[in-house]
Amino acid sequence: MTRLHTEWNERSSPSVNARRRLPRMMSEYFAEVRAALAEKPSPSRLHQIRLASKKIRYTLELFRSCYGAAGFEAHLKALKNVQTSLGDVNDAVAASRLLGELMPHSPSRRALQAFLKQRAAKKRNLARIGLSASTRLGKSAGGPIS
Amino acid sequence: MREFARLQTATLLLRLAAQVKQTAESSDAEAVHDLRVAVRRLSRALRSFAQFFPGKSWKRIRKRLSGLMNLTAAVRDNDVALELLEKAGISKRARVALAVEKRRREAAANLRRELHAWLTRNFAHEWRGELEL
Repeated sequence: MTRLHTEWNERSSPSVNARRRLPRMMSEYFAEVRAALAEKPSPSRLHQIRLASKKIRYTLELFRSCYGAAGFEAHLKALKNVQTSLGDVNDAVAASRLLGELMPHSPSRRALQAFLKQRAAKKRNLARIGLSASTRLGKSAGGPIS
Repeated sequence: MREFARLQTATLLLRLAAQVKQTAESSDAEAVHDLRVAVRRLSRALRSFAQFFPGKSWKRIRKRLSGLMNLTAAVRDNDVALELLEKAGISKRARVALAVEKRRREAAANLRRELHAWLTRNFAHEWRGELEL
C-alpha cells in the first residue's frame, strides 16, 4: 500500500515540505486505488483501501494550515466520503460476525445475515462509485494537491 | 518544521486528553467514536513526525494508543451491531439485542477503568515529557 511515512526537511518550512511530499503521496494513493478498481476489489482489498484512505486523510489534515484552497477541502471531503462508505461495509461484516456468535442457527438469524450481506453489497457499490469520483478529482487540475 | 510538528502533536495530545476525560465520564457511542478519532489523529501525527521525537518515544506511545483502540473497538462493535439490529427491525427487547447490550456494558466498563487509570497517571503530562513537546 501507499508509503505514508516520509522524511521531512528540517530546514524547510512546513508549506515547502507539504508541497514537496504530499502530492507524491497522494499520486501513489490514487494510482493504487485506480489499480484496485480496475481489478474489481475484493472485500479485503477494499478494507486495505479504507485503512490507507484514513491514514492519508489524517496525514493531509496535519498540513491543513498550509493550504487555503477549496480544492484541498474537496480532497478531504472526498476521502471522508469514501472512508464512510467503506466503513459501512466493514461495519456490516463485523456485525454479521458478532451476531453470528450470539444467535443460534434459526430462520431469524438467516434473515438477519441476509439483510447484512445485502447492506454490505450496497455500501460496497457506493464506495466504488466514491472511489472512482475521488480518483477523478485526483487527476483533475494536473494533480491531487499542488 | 520541527516546531510545526511539535505544535501539531501537542494540540492533538491536548484533544485526546479532553476526550479521554469525557469518555471516562460518559462512554456513550458518540464519545467512544470521538475518542477513536482523537487516538487515530495523534497516532498519525506521531508516525508522520517520528523523526522529530526523541528515540523510540513515539513508538512506545503508539503502542499504548493501539491498546486503547482495542478496548474502544470492543465497545464500538457492539454499538454498530445494536444500530444494525434496529435497522433490520429487530426489537430492543429481543434476546440477541439484550445479549449485545450486555456485552456492550462489559466492554464499556473495561474501557472506563482503563481511561481512569490513564487520567490518574496524568498520561498527557507524561507523554509531553517523553516527546519533549
